Amino acid sequence: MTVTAPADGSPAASLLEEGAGAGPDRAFRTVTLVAGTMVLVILLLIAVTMTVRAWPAFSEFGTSYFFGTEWVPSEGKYGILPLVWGTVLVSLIALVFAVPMSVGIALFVNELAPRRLRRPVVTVVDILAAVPSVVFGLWAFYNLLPGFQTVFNGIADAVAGIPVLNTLFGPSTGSSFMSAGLILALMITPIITSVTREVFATVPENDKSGALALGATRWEMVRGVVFPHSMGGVTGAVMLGLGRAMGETVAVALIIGARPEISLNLFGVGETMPAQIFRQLSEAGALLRSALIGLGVILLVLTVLVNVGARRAVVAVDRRVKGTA
Amino acid sequence: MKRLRPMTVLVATVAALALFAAACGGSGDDSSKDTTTTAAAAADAPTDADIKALTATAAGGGASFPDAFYQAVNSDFNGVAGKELVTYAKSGSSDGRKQLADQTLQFAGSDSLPKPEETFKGGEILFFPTVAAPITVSYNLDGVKDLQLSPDTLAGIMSTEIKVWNDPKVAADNPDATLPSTPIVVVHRSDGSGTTNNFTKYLVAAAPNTWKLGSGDTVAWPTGTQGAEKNSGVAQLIKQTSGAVGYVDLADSQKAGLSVAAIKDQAGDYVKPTADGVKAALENSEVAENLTYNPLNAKGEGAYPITAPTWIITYAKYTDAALVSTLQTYLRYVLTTGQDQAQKVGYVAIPESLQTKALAQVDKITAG
Amino acid sequence: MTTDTATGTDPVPATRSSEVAVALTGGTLGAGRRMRNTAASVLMVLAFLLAATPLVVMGVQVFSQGIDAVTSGSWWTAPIPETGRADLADNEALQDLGFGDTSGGDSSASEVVLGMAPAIVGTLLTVLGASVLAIPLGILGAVYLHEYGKKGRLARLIRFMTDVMTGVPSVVMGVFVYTVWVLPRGVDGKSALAASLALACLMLPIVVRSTEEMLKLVPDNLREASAALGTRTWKTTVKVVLPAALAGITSGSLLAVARAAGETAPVVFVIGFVTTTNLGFLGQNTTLSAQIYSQQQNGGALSTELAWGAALTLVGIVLVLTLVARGISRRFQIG
Repeated sequence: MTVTAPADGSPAASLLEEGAGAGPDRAFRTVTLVAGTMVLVILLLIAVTMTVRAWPAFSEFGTSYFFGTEWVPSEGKYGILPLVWGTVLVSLIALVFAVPMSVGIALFVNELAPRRLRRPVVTVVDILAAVPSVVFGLWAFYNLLPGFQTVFNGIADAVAGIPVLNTLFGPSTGSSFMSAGLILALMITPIITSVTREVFATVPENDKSGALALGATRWEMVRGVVFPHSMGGVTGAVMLGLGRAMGETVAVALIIGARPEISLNLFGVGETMPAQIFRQLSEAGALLRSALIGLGVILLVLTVLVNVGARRAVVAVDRRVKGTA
Repeated sequence: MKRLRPMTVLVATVAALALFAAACGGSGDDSSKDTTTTAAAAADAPTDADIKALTATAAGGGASFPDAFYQAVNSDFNGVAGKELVTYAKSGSSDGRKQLADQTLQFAGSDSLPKPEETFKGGEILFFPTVAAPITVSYNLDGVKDLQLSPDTLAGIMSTEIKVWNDPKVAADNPDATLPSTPIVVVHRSDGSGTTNNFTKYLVAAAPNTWKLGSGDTVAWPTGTQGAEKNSGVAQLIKQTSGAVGYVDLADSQKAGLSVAAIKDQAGDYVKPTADGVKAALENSEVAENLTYNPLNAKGEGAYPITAPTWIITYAKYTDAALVSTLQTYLRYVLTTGQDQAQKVGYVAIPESLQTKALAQVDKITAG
Repeated sequence: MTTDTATGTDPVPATRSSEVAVALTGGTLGAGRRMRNTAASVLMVLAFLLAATPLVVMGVQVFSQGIDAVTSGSWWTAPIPETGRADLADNEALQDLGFGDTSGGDSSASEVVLGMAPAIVGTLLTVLGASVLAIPLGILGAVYLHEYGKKGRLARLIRFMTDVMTGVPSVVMGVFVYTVWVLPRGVDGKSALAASLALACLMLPIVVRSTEEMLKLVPDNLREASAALGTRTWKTTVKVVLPAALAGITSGSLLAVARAAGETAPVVFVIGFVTTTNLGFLGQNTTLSAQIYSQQQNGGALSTELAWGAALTLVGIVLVLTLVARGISRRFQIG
């Protein structure tokens, strides 16, 4: 710890000795206040400097930047919609797989698993959270891509004649929205699981035992008591996962195909905002750099909105629990 | 580093003196072994002592096309120096030039020339040709080893007009092969790339009727194609994707163990990307005043038509004298001793006449 | 019921009471209800297996493909080797095309000493720098929130913004440091220090929040006892509260460190490129995550081996940090 303590005397003695001074207390308070405000300062600095740097792109392209459907910097086309599309689509795919998985794991840990199994299960999920993004990417690139290509094309062939499905599940080269979404699902499962577990743990024990006492099965108790009570909190958890998914960079960059396209083919190639920033930032000329920093700003705004929403939902649960307790 | 300036200037002076002495010594030896022209180049080769005397580090980066060559040369150069004097981080030609322009790098590797609108913070720039190599058309297709492609077929494939491997046009180029009906996956560079520039320039020149996407460090690839970063990324992705085809330097293509196609030259022969094919292409291209040249779609017999040049780009002036001597010594090393490493990793040394011109240009880098 | 389930993470009684209830009512269940219940239970187990299986497979593959490099002896001490020549040394296709080593059997080229020392040092250095910047600041910030600001308007704003900042994508931090730090400084801007700055931005909110959570767990009667002795808040905080929360704060900070050590996106723009060890915060450097990415991009058998080795090393470092953090926090909770 960085604290300076007088070298002599026991802690109790030193407490009595100088405890009366108001000056040091004010100084310490100021130091902590400055430290606390640093979060605000840094966040403000990030938002302001990036917006300033992005401004040339915003003002130069205006609506064609925000609503343009083509991102081809070499031809001067800076429409960000394909990248927004890729980011949103990949994140949604990730949620579709991660949410049921996370809720299942949370229920398993909180309601089903024998007590001595809980800690190992939680450890496994924590380890999943600890694996760096680039390792997921490396592994997926070498060990999953060829398999993805085979499986996706198999599915595409199977649904080839069925309308809608044949659009959603078209031919694949392996790298795709779906590949990135599946890897992201694994990566965001831990955070959704841990928040969901906390939310489930707030369900009043009386309600749960009451339901069981009335003869409900465990599943009926979960459906009838745990789920209704936790809706808001789980929504918060899902949004936290969404925020995480939207910002993931390297793992997605390696397996999405690097093609900014608005395509409904989930097995087709695409591109996300963070991946595009990651690929192009240092090589960009003034205008493209500004457009990329603009992507950073939009990503910042989107993730902030999602996180604000998530926190609100979680806080609402907290309040309700504390209100009724 | 800035605090050490007087010191570095002193060391640089010593280094310069040492260089001068070495040059004198070299010229004295000339008479004994000037029967070969490489001996003349060897006179310019920095001695181990020259390299050890250097103090400033030089950070370079850019083109991934010559990366395997630069990594080999740098490993030797830094090995002699006993410290990491020169680094080269591949990031694409556009990236290298941009970082040189922003002065976040001290020299750049590029396979393409800057566009007129590219401006460089540090003023005038110099081009040093280093090696040349074939851009291969590499592919991943089970059971097909010796693919042959005419420029028109190649352009059709790359612009996704030809969608499957057993298309009649591909079959016409390959009368002896059994082609599967696998869909073609075109893999291209997603970053700004001199390889893309040279490859598309070749298509513009050789297949003007089929290739409509123009040329440049990046082009607007059609829907359904797939991007990857740097030559190595393209090679890796081709390896991981069945039915894939793309344009890659030979070193990266062979590291990934890919098959390479033979390309039809202007005389109508299918030419593999051989060392001799590249040499023939180099002999048939003209070098401009600033040492830029274009060996693409060269005419000579046996010339591999997609032969690409590559340059190290430096500023003519740097503020730091120690940096200048590092760059000068390094460039001399690349253009003499380093040339021997080229063929080992899939490149071809530049012709001796060009080496001489480039060596003469090294002195144009000055401090001030 | 005495357990406070709102804060506890182990609602033990749930299982017990449910087991009792199931045991009591089990006999009267209809087949449909029983089946649905069983199906739900199976799905829950399946959900866990669905997440655990890829993790295990990935773990095995990272381990098996990285272990040779990591145990090669030179791994922790040698510079990062140049792999191109060795990777292409015996390439027959290349030789058929007239390339390759034409000088004859020089086998020395194919002997490559696998090493990752520069990246290991770089990772430790950047993370150390980020920790020095972010952890004291984060702890002091948390002290303000919990000991001074409490429920005040400013404290609430900071708390909220800290949560928001936790959600800011790491690549944005990289863009930020690249534009304000690297671009103005040119080639001298690329350094372990720049990477530390980006990672510190990432760590700060995590440290603030985890520290505040830990401060909350320190019983108020400790503070009151100290205050009763006439001690000022600052001294109470420094001598009583922080020591009491030390284990928890350490654990939270370690988790932040682990998170930072694994980051790639914010590091790659700002760290530069080296293959030998740079012990300084200034000058270009490299990290394990940057090496995994660039060696993967390199292709070739040896580069791929380096990438897997770096991945195993990084996962090892991150796992040790995470497990140590868990161990500390577990002890803290019990004690």
